[in-house]
Amino acid sequence: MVLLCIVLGLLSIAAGPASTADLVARAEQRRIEVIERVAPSVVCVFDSHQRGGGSGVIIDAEGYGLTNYHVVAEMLETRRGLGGLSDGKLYELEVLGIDPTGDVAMFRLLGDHPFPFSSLGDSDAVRVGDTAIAIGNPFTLSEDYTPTVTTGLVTGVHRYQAGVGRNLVYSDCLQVDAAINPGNSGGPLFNREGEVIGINGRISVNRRGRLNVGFGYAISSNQIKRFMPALRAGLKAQHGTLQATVASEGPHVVFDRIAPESAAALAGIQRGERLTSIDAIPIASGNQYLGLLGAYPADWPIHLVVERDGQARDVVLRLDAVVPKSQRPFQPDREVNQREVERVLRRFQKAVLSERMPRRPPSWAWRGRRETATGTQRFTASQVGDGPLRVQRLRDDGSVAALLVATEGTVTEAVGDLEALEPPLDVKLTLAATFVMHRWLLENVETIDLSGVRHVGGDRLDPRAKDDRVLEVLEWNVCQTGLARFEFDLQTGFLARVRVRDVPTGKEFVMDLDSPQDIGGLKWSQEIHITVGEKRYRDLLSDWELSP
Amino acid sequence: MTIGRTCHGLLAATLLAAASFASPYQGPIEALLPRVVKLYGLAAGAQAGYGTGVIVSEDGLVLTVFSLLIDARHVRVVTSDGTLYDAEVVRRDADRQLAMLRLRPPGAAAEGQPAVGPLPYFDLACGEADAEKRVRSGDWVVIAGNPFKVAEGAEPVSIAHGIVSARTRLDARRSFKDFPYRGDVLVLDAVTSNPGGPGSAVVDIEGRFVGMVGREVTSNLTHTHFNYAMPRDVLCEFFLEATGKRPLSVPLAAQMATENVPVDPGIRLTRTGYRSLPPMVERIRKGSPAERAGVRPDDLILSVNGRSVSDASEYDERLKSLTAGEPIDLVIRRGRTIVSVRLEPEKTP
Repeated sequence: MVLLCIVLGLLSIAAGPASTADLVARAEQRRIEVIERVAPSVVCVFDSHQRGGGSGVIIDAEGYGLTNYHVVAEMLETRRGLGGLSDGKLYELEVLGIDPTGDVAMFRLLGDHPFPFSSLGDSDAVRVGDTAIAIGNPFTLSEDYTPTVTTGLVTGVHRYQAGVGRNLVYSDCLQVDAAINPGNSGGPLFNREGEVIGINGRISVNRRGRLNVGFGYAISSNQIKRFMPALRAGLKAQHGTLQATVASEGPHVVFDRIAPESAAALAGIQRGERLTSIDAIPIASGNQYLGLLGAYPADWPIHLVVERDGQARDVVLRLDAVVPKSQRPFQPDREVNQREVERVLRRFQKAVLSERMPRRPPSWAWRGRRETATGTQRFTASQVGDGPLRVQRLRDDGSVAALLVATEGTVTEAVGDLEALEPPLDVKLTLAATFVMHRWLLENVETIDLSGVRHVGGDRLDPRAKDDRVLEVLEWNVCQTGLARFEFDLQTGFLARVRVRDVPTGKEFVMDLDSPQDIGGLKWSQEIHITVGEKRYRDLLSDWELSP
Repeated sequence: MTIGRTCHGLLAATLLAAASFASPYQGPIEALLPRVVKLYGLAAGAQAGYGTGVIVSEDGLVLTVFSLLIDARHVRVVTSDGTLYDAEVVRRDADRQLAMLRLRPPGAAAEGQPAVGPLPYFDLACGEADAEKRVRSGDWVVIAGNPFKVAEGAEPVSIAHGIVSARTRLDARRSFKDFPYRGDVLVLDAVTSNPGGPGSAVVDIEGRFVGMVGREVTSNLTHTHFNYAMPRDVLCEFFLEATGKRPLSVPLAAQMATENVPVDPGIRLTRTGYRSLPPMVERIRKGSPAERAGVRPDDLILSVNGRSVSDASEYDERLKSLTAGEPIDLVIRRGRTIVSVRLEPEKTP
């Protein structure tokens, strides 16, 4: 049968032209299907008086969507506009976070869920020559909000297009020859599969007018993903910078001017040193340097390889913030932010708890062991109802070495050999953070007091590990002097990292959680890595118990 | 039979999957990118200080358009790997509006220059067999160049795609002057008339070099910017002359003298400013075909070779479509009568 297949296969190849025509017809059919599937997620964006006219795209069922900053810039006073969908209906539109530097804004359509939506694709996987489908409302042609479709090729990737001052910079953008015209702004650029790979918003024009001449630019989806947490949380996104310029040296770039006190200067980067790569992407031109950096948010950790006299070294630093010139003041909406805090926690619970789990369990207990440089300590942690959190360190013979009790984030009891405890950080802070973590994990989001919790935007895991996962960060002030940051994976919703810092001393406690696995009915990391300064520990959880 | 159908279905699905993942433009793009260079030179007036060129020999000959750009003291060329070269202009062709540059390593002494290359290039040593490779109307083409200076250094230049709409004679102008090249061009449906775009390479879907985007011009027929490429055969002639492989025969000028010389029957029409007036004869040149045929001032021209004309500019259009050396039939209204006249061409010396 296999042989027969091969023979038939050869025959059908020999029958060339007919099958080619068939393939073309089927490819066209597929394209039509993709367009029919994604077009309902495209939004015709207007202000509240139905003036102006841009485009947008819905990216989840709740009606959250992306557009250009310059499309909503005139709506910031009221934070309200209108969005028309291909069902012919006009919905009220709420402007959430904005990114004036990167020309992106997030909105939410108000109306009956679920909304039709499209998913964001991987813009780094896009190659020159790939099909590009732009959908939007050019020339506000559509009166019933059925969007216009134009197609073409991706004609450039990782392009840098300078902005107006420090605004509207198209940092790491895709270039297309699909027709992009006034009104297309904010609309999605799709790949062949119907994934959003960019947000169209800019064109090159010649002296003949502000019309398509085959040079359209879309802000890449991967850049937008890094700013998405801040945009969803209703914040004004800030872009990152090294505060250093580079000069071309043949096919390489070298650092030229480095601002004193900048992240680059503090990391020991010096004038004349060659910049080989940023996050493992080789840097060959000044355009590329600006483009790559501009695609990162402020405070984002990045990994550089810098070379001097042929000696390469790794530099990991957090970017400074681009100081925006002439941007309008923007007051984040507290309500939008709080809504986002709750959403993050709900996703977290969903990622950890199975559906049947009680949302306010009376009792729970962890068992495990902590590996330290000096040996292994067994521990248990437990809580009964609303009562205090009890953590016990056990000796090898099972006797209790130390006992800590915390209520509502305050240590109320500490007995035993506390000096022997690892890590030696102010235990109050870490316990308080753990306490909060468990409440967030196990209680109804509606019943938790979240008034002190802020959504502060995004972050990423270790850039050296080439881990490009985007994290959403909730911040909470703990025990007066402490600041706890809970960082959740944007994709899975799971808690990926907890950072607790004692602000006066600057001491930091970092807890990295491995990807979750099933432990006694819930999904949790079996390995947790703890870093305090130079010291590293490993917690291995063996057991989890939930009493009804 | 059932097995056969299943197998066929499977195979078709495999082919479809393959077809849907490999872009048909990948081949042409890979052929283009290493052979197209970024040019930097003189910026003056409407002339942008940047442009595009095509490598046409492995030792660094670069083909581009004849423009002010290359009149800079230093024309700089950046190849696809980001290497910066100085270039000298080795030939200018005002008729075809083409130019040839030669790359020099930057900073090298004028004498005893080290050789450049070997570079990837498009072969323009066209032979007889080349005629068969001509693109036809409707063929897909892929274009690579650096309009708007989108790319710099080693960044890949921009790509565009479209089809060849037609192969036709160019009749165009730049600002107020007629564009000297009146030969064949490939009309493209992609927008190529952009700053920095002239000199972009055009290949067919097999990646074969079929043309080069010409200078920005305005069509005399439609008065719009015209998107076109100089066809490969014209580039070949220029290449062979520029490289001394064929003597400079001035063939183009001679061809144009016989084929596309403006037809002048010796009639001047009444004109005022830009207003469109009826084609009323104002003066007749002495000894012209019109005088010999008895055309007089105040005659109103109704048709040229059987095609009606309603105003002076339409009359001009009609004349442009005529071939020199052939008689012209006019229908004229003179007072209240209609007259037919035949204008015999002037004898060329």
